[in-house]
Amino acid sequence: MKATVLEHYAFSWPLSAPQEIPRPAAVEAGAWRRFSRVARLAAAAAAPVLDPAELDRDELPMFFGTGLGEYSSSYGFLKSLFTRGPAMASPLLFQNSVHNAAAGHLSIALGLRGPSETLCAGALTTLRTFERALCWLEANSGFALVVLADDVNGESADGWRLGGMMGEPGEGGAAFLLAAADPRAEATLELLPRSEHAMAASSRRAAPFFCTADAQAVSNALFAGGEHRFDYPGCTLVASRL
Amino acid sequence: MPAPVHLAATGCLTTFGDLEGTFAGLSEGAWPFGSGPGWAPGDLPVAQVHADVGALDRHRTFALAKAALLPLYGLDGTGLAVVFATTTYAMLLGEDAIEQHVQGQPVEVGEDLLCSHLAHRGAESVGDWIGATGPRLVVSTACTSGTVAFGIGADLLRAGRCRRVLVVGADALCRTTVYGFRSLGAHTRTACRPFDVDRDGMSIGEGAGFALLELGEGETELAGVATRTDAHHLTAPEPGGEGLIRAIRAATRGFEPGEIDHVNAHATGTPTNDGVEARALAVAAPGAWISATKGATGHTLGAAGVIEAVLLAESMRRGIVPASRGCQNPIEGVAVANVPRARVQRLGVSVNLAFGGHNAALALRFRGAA
Repeated sequence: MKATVLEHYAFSWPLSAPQEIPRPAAVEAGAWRRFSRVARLAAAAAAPVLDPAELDRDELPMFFGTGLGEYSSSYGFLKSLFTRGPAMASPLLFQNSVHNAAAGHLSIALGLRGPSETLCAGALTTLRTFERALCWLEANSGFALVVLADDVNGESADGWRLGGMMGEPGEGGAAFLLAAADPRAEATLELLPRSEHAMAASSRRAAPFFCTADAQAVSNALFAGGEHRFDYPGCTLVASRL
Repeated sequence: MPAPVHLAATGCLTTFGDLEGTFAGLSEGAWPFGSGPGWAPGDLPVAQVHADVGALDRHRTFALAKAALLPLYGLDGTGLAVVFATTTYAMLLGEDAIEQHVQGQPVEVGEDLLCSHLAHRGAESVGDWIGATGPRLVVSTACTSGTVAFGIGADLLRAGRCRRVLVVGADALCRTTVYGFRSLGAHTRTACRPFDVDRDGMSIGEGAGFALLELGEGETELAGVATRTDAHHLTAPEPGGEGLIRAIRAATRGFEPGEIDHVNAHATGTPTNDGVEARALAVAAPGAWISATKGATGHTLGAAGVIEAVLLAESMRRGIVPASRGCQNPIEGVAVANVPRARVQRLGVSVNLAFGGHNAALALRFRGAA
């Protein structure tokens, strides 16, 4: 399976060096205030990728990958429940607590009315989200937007430490605008199968956990040019630019 | 034409037990809603699984999935992909840890603090248990997750990424969802009455369901799966139901709206959802019989799409449109039945709506003897 990469943008940083997330011009300030941190990371990555492209936003599919989802919102909701009681539990934090809240915020802010899927595969989230998008393009052609975002900070960092997770946690966002493979394309992503027995390898406790670290590496490889291979259990993701 | 994909095996576990018990429970049997587990507030009726699944795993969502999957025990996992649908996965475990953390107490099981959001472990745990060697991933689009999982599974098969796909949906009752829907004013304090003129909210349920997907023609084929987004509001559906109409049309591409025989509706029993859905179904599936199963199973969230697709397939196989429990006086324009009706169904549709303005539709084609 192979696709053309039309646009891509990624950023990430470790927990020890957190940064401000700038609001993209495409997202109104009022909407930005309602966004969770995951949604902000996702929007900051997706907006620049969509800006230059003239796409049918009624049909553009979005595949949103996240390793940890909306942990901060869930924690906040439960904190309001446990400390203030059921009558004061926060409905805003509850609606932001589902894994696909960021995808929902993005669709509203950027006018995306097409298919949408939110996917989680732990340390393999970037791979599985690309795999899903490539499967989609093979079946449907056209375009596909891949967005990845994870935030690991505050309470979730405590969970990271207490849970014995390996690697330094961090956060970031990434977005890739893909199209069905075009032989004239300069930048491509291809998924090549490897021996099947390797597929059983578990993705638990792999490091680094946050999915945007992988996505950042793919984006960096595309900027660098040449061919770069990323080996995963059961398959290899090849990012190349002529 | 895409290569055909069929449902080679199906099953579920709900408050009424296995698939046989659940299908019967759609139309008759004990009142499904009660006060729930010890932590649940008594004034919010929920549908709890009564089967003793605790011995299967300390993690209740996985235990529910395992119990539902028992009919598949011994399945060859070679080349098997697992697509797991869930909304809260390990939240029930995580809540205890988060409560301890919030209160400043030592967290008893450190791993539980983060595990509430490690949803991917649903696919990993099922994959490890069965020995699946294909891709494993979790789809978590809230209440549409189960329906979406079928589309992902079909595409993985058609792309040659695996030999078979196990679609699993599971969610357990937990404080986050019960109190969360209460905070939104969406949980009934009386009874879930889908499509009834006097409906006043949803009831949360728990359960699990599965479908084994294979390439090739079969008795029950997956005719299409599609999602579309409202881009309107995070929790309220677009009033005209345009997103749902577009999803149904995309899932039934190649068929006329009048060919749809039966729609298993999302039908949560909230005034807003059921009103929007009724308007959309009148346009997208005119003349279809409508069934609403959440008046029996409760709203099983991420598992709902799988359980409801399994019940739709069973309905088509038996040639019976089930009753819609809780609906005494249907709202105008919705052809729901309060008793089971014999009806040949060649094309059936199951739909779900979710937070994020998400709409999903799945179409099944029955090729067996009517």
